[in-house]
Amino acid sequence: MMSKTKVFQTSIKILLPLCLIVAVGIGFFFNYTKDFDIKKIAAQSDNYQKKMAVKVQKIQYKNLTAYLIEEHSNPIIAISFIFKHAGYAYDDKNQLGISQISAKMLLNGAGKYKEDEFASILEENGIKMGFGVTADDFSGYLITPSANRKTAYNLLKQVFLNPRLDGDSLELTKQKQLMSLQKQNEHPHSQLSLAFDKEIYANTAYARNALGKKEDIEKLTDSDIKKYLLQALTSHKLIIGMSGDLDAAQAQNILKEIFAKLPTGNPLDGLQKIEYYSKGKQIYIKRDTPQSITRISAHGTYRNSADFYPLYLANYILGSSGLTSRLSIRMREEQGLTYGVYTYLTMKDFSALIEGEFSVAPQDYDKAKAMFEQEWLKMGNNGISAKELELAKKSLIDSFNLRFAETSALADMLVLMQKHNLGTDFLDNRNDYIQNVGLEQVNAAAKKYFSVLPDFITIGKEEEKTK
Amino acid sequence: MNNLQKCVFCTLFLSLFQTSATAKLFNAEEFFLPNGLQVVIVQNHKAPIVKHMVWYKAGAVDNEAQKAGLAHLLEHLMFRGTKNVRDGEFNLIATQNGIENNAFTSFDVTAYHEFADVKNLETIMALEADRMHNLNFDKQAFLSEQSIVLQERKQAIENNPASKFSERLQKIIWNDSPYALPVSGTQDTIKAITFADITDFYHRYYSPDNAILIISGDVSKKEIKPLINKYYGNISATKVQRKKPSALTQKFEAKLAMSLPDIQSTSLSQTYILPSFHSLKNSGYAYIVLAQYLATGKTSPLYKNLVKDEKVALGVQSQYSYANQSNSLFRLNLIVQNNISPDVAEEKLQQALGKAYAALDENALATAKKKILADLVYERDNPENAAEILGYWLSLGFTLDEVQNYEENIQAVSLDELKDAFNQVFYHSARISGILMPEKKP
Repeated sequence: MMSKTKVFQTSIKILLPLCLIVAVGIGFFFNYTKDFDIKKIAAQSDNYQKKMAVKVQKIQYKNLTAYLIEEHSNPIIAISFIFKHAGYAYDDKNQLGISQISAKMLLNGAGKYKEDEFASILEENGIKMGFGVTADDFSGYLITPSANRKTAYNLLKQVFLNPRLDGDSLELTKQKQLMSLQKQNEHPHSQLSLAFDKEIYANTAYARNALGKKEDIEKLTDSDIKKYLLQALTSHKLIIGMSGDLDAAQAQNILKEIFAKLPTGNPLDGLQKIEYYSKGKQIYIKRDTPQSITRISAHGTYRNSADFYPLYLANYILGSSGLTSRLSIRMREEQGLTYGVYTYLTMKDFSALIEGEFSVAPQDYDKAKAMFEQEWLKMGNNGISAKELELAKKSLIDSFNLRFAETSALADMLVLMQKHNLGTDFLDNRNDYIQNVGLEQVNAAAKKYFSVLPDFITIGKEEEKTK
Repeated sequence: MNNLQKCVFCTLFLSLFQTSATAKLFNAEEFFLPNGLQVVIVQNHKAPIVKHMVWYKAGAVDNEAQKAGLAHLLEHLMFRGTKNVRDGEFNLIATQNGIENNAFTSFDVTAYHEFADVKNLETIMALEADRMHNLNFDKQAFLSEQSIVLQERKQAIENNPASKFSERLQKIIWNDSPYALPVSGTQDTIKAITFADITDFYHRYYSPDNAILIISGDVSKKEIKPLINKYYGNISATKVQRKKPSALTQKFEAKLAMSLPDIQSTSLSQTYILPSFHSLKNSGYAYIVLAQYLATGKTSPLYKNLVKDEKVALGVQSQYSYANQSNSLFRLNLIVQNNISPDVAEEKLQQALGKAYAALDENALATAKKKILADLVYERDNPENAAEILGYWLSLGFTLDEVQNYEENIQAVSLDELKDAFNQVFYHSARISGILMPEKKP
């Protein structure tokens, strides 16, 4: 048995270091108190909310309608428009690329202005005009400083009514298009895009190469272009958005003096709806490249379906909320496997998908794919929590005002609002639509859309040969 | 006084009071904090939104060659934890409050930016001011971001078939200068970066006296100056000393010709090395006008000659880039037509330049200026534009006044200055030709 002194000495030997540890621990804790609590600061931000009043006006002239948002703080005017059912999916099957070529030709002179003079007027007056095509639509825009609006409007009117379509311009336009086609497979990403459309849209018009077909382009004549434009650019198909330094009377006058001059045209024929369902396929495209790129595809939903907002929120949490999405946290932040992984909803007129993309080193592909699949199915099987939903809603509502940053983007947004029949009061109601989505709805959508694996198309990684 | 004398007198009198009709580029105000932080506030009240940018005057040229990619990796690690905001929390707070945010690294600067509803301004300031001096990431975060920037390099650069060519061209242009190396680094240099390298760079360069804060949007100086003082005012300056890369002065001619797999067409570029913008004999603005004149748009002399008349190119571009401390660069790029050899294209380019010079007159000068200035109204639209433009120019050493007087400075370029600029570029500068071609079919 130890003497009392010895017990005391032993106790000191144990207790002293213990006290020191505790003291250091307490000191450490106090030294590590924060200068501020970021959560508290963020929580107070609602006190500084400024109301944004946006008025969307419906402008009409005869059978034409446009939406208008007036914005007079900066003297510019933006007009955005589409001709529905006039995109490259509607090109005659022996003239693949005609819509693209025609769109480019519209900038090559109109009325009395030959190509050079036309370009000069645009450039010297700061007027931006452009035309293009998507699969579904033929689109255009006109952006001008207010001071030069009369010149801008006159040019657009001439383009619609008297496109010149001069021969030498057409030749050069075709050559540029063919060069773009020639370069299409340079970058693995664009090679993948071509393959994706072919695979996912199979033998429908959406599978077409957006740039057209070489042999068809080579044969196009100026009378082909003229004939094409007469049937494509008809006011029956128009959807128009306007924003900036103009008022309702001026907006109506634009409809009257420019768009109403177009031929009315015939009622629209759409395409057949594509019912796409993924099967968990994996397709490999061989290419020697440092980073493999993968795109995924699954059944989605249309803008006006009851599933839209619930799916939008589920997808936002899975892969559309930047670096805080579940996929980003898993594959980028935690594993360092990829610089970017995303999922997003795409809607064409006749096809609605959930799409996604990620790039990883070829040797990491199998591991990355497994993670992607796990997160996808976890969403399908378990859905999301109430807390996740609350934060996602706040994120989408608090960023709402950023869409008013750019005048031309407003005009584009007004076109989309009309395309999807969202109504002139959409901007007033949008945050409520988000707020009103219930947890059960989101989880029902999660189960419906994320229970079956998507299809994968990968470039830069080869299928492993089974031994 | 007779009538004629009165007339002359009036004209002279009035001309004394002629105020400049040219507007300032932005509605901007500037002040400096005692710790050296340069602050610029730009008002744009079209929507209750704000762009907040912190520009550190430190970038790829400030890290040593063997550690290329360091400044960029630090940029990534700025999101991975501070004394007050734990790893991952920055992104969460940003996303949850609808704050769009990102950052970028360039040769001379690293910029951190947020774009959000103006109600979030205090949150944003707290976050940015905090990571200006309290960065505190751990080893795991370091290893993770090191891996991520390796992936980024592969995805964004190495996957691009032209990158081998453009990086080699960059080396030839810049030689021993730190501008010769890619901002992203290479696989080897990224792997060579250590934890200590990052913290050393951070402490050396991330200081309020080496930074510019730009806030653009639905704010006023009166409103937000107290907030700026509250969050940025107490950060101590470390009196940053930066080594400016030496100017390249040697005249030489070089040519890089490369055939690469996957490349499907031929492109030709010519790069001319000039003194830095501010050290140019005549104003640097003459070179901006020169770039506009030569090949911007379909009516430019080079486009008309090479694309429409001679048919040796399908596209031509001119660019004057002054984003370097030591030099500026003037560049011409051509997409060469199929079946035209690059040598022929180069010859035709020289001839076209001669013709373009001969066509230089007051009218051409006035037209070029008009085109440049017609676009300025658009810069005042989205509040993000002002923050990006001002940050870029101020970090290069321009004063706010000089940037604000952009229109006046462009207008002041004379025909003689423009001709001098042309001669300086095409007769008195180092020239590097770059030719990128498809692989020859056997």
